[in-house]
Amino acid sequence: MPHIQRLIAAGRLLLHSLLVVVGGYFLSAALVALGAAALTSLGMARSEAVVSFAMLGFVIYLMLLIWGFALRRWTPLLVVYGALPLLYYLWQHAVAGAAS
Amino acid sequence: MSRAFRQSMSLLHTWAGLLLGTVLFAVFWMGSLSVFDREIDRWMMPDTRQALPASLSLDRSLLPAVTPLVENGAQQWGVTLPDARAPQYRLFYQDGEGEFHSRLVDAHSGELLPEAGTLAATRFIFPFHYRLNFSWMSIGYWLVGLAAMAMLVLLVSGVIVHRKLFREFFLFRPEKRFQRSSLDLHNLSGVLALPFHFVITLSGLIIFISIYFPDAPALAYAGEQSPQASFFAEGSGRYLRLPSGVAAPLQSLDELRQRAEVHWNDEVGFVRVRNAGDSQAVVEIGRSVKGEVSWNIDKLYFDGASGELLHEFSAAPMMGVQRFFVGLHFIQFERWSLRWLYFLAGLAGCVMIATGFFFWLEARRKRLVSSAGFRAVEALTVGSVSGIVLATFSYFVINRLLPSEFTVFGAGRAAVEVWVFYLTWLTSFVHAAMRCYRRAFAEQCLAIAVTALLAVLHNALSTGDHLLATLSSRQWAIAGMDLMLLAAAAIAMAAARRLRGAAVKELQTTASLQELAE
Repeated sequence: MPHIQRLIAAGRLLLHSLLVVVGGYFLSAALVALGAAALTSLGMARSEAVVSFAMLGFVIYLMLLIWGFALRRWTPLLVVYGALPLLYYLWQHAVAGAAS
Repeated sequence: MSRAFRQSMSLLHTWAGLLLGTVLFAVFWMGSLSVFDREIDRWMMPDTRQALPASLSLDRSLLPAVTPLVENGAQQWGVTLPDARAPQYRLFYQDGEGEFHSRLVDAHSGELLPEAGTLAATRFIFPFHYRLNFSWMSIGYWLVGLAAMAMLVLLVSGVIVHRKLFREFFLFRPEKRFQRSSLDLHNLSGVLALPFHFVITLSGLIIFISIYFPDAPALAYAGEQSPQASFFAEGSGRYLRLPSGVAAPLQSLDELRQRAEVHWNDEVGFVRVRNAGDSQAVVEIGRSVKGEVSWNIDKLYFDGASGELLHEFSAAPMMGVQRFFVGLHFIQFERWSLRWLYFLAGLAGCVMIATGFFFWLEARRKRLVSSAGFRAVEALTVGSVSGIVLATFSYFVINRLLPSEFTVFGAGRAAVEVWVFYLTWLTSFVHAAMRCYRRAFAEQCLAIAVTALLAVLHNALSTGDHLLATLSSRQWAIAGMDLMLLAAAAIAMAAARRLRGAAVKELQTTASLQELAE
């Protein structure tokens, strides 16, 4: 059934791309917020820390895109681009919920 | 580098280019035009083709226009000071109902200029460049952001894919087959302007850090009611205070401006008044951005009633880096030679994107020519490349064809111009889908040439500022626009002729092949 096989291959490619583009963005955004907080705790002025990591965010995202598209194995893909950003946002949500 | 890595980069380069090429071409085209946005403004708004007054008095040439607005309840207003490229005050104000308005003020007479009846370049072409004028849910910003990230990925993967990069550095074989020469041109424009393309794309993203990474301050500013607002106030400076409700006259703006000029040893770029007409009025004076690459956000805040200096702001070092990227992208510093280089490098980006499409098509023509997908990419290519150029030139023509007070169905000329742009662009895709590829291209190139000539003609007819007049009176903005349109017409005409020759040859080959088959 070559037809179905082709459909499966296309589906995998689509899933791979979505995971890298969308997951990669949310992971970069999480790293930006975490990096800014880390610099702040090291003594940098908070607005300076935020600007620094917001600018770096585009470079981080670019590297995540290149690496993610070159990645062929699903385990690191699902962990890095799926689980990590998901964990961050669940944690953020829990913290915000506890604060309010 | 492993073969598998190179292969996946090749696949990525092909797909990202195909999916986002249309947006990228539009962004590069509109961005290249935005380099000369003020000049296009002058061309599209003949009322504003003025000389800069020899000396500028805010009290005498601005306040006569602003005072009635404040008396009518405007609480906040601000102006960008005129310069040689934009010789009017650009005034914005917030009326009593809180609504924002934007007007031009004649710097000679201090009168509000009538509504221009056009969005011209600063309000159509320039915003199109960064948000496709699609504001619903900020989707335009995100689409352009995605295309910009794709551009960075394309540049990196492109370098990886083209192994023989340096051998192909200056290789261009226009006499070879179209497939070969379009790849050469793709590599040539891509490699030659690679540093520019990388920096201009990255800096374009960095301008909008607060749009693309809105939650960046979420942790560093945890506990604040609004992390974004606090970050903005700290990083970009803000001084606010409540109005008292007691009316009071404003200090001389000329005097405050002079004090600021002495303070910075530099010119003033804009003036903003908050709590206008109130004893708690605050006059914010911003430093000019024309002196250096970095787009500074230096500001002085004065008490509007007493003239006392209330607060001084200057960006901190890392914010200064961000401002440097912003200035690098906006190129508002005064360097004409550099402005032309930006324009040419931007157009080189257009050439790179267009030839990327061409190469994709020619490499697959034999294998896929009868498939619907291939036909769709052909139409996409034509509409994305020649279609948007044609639409832009039509936008120019309709501006010079209709009078500024023109209305139809209750819509003014400004709206009609925008309709014409989108309608022409849409039609170019439909036209490309209906005609065979080369013929569609040839016809649209011909249309571009005709439209460009019409634009020059109608500028001369509607304003009397023809090339001889503008060149001899040194109106470089108008003369430059006309000359660029003429150059575009010549290039489009040459392209149309070559394409028509190729289209005829293509038809003959197909016919002889069919004969052979019979």
